[in-house]
Amino acid sequence: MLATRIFLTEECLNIKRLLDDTLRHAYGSAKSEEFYNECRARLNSLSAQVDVIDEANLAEIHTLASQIHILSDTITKIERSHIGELSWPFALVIKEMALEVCRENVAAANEEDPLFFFSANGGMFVYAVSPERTASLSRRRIFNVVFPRSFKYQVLLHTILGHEIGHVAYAYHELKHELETKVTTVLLQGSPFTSISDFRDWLEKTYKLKLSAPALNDALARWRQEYFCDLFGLLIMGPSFLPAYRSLFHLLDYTGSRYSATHPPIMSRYSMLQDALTFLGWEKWEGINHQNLQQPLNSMYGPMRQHVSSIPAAMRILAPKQVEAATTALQDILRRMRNTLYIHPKPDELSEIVSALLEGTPAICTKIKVPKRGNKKRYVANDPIDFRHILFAGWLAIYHDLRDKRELSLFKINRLCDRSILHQDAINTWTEHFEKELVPKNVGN
Amino acid sequence: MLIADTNQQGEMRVLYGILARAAMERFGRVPKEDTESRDIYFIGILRLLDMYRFDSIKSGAPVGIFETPTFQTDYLASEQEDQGAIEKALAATHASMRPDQADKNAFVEEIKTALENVHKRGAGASSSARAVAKEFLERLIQSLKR
Repeated sequence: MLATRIFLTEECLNIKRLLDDTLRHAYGSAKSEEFYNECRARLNSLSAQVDVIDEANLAEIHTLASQIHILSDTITKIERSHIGELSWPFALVIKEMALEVCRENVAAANEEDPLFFFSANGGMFVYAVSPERTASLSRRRIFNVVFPRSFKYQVLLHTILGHEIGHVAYAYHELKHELETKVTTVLLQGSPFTSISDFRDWLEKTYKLKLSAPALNDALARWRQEYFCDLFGLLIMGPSFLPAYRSLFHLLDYTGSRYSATHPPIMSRYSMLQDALTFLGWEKWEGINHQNLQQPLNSMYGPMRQHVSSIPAAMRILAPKQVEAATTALQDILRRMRNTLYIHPKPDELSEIVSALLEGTPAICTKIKVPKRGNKKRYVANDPIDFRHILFAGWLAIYHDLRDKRELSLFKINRLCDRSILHQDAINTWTEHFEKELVPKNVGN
Repeated sequence: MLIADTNQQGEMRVLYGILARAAMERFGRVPKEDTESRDIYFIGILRLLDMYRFDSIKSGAPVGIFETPTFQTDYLASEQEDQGAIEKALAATHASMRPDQADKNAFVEEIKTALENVHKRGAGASSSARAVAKEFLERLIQSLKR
């Protein structure tokens, strides 16, 4: 058997070689350097402890070995993260949104911005944003955003990641405390998910299940967080969160009532989201009467509403008035985090995007405008389009009666949305440098 | 199948003991030396203090929206026991250092301020900050051993 210190010292050197082979040389971008620096710092801190460890202290040796194992795993996952396997325009917007959620808490905790890397796994149900365990030797936190590999262009389904950003919020202790107090506790008030004893009784009555105390504690904490993340996903992604959510969950559990130790029953989550939707008034938004939007909006919302109305009372667990109060509280918190709260577009603007997609073109809102005051020189204006409006329009295009007539497959609509987000990113970059470019007088004549 | 169950993170209690000891060993050093490791040890303890302040020590790692891993009861029990031990160790440190100061917020703020001072200035930190930080880390290391 190798002496433990020799073994761990050797493995630290192996990881240094791995790090130099991969993150230092294989990629040239500044972002790669950030990962390299963070992983090198972690490795140095581990090596320093291996150097001084008491070989008779087996618990410390085991703990350091685990940390070295985790670091090796993290570097390998980053190395295997290939942006070509997923929609990188979507990856960039989701990262920006997650950073907004982290930012004020990072500042409060005297930390630097976390790092995000993206990867793709096999299977339809692998969506995740995984924070590292809190108990790790780290300076900057690293989050891994996981997409299903086969859904490379299925950006309309990616709105499900709104739920996962909720877990990012919960990874910051101060914010988690605020969200627990002001949102989750309010959301679940009056339900069986407020105390261990109520939860235990409810599980026994509903599922004839008797869990051990540790399993019960774990399940209750997880279920509470999952309800919160659903509401969070809806409020940051907007209406397009729902069809993605339901499309995927329906394939996973068609009964909607299956027991899981990690997630509450799906029917109860559908019911909660429907109550939130009703409270938000999105089904009665002025766009519902718009000539181009009425039919797809009804086609999208109608079946969901109908399905929820058939959910048995036992699975309508959260009280609508609590959902309303929690939604209001969460909106207030999200307003602090720049651009994270979803706001409906104007009906005409949304209609234009839907029409563009149905005509087979990406949505770009570039117009030639004349200033209202001063000189009348026309200029090119790029009105920014929120990526969530593009995704909402994408779902409406999917539900639009014209889609079949125009032979636009789901794949094509998704690709058009993917491209729209990509173009928007380019336009935003351009606008930052040249906000208003003057157009020669003859343009448009 | 894997050669063995690798789902063992080591004990958090032991890890925080290592962090606290490593932070304390860096009290007298110039911050510019060994900057990265120094950051990691101090940030780890500062995060732990926030977890204590906001009652976040007892929480499992989140799983993906559709993920349904099966957690073994014995694994959960040992994880929760480990988390409970850390919570108790911090509460004991708090009670022994500031028996008349029950407010977690005030306690954590005082300790964080002292630790941040020592983290940034090393040997140049104020003597009061050094004394508070040293006492906290010493007591924490002892409490975590129990």
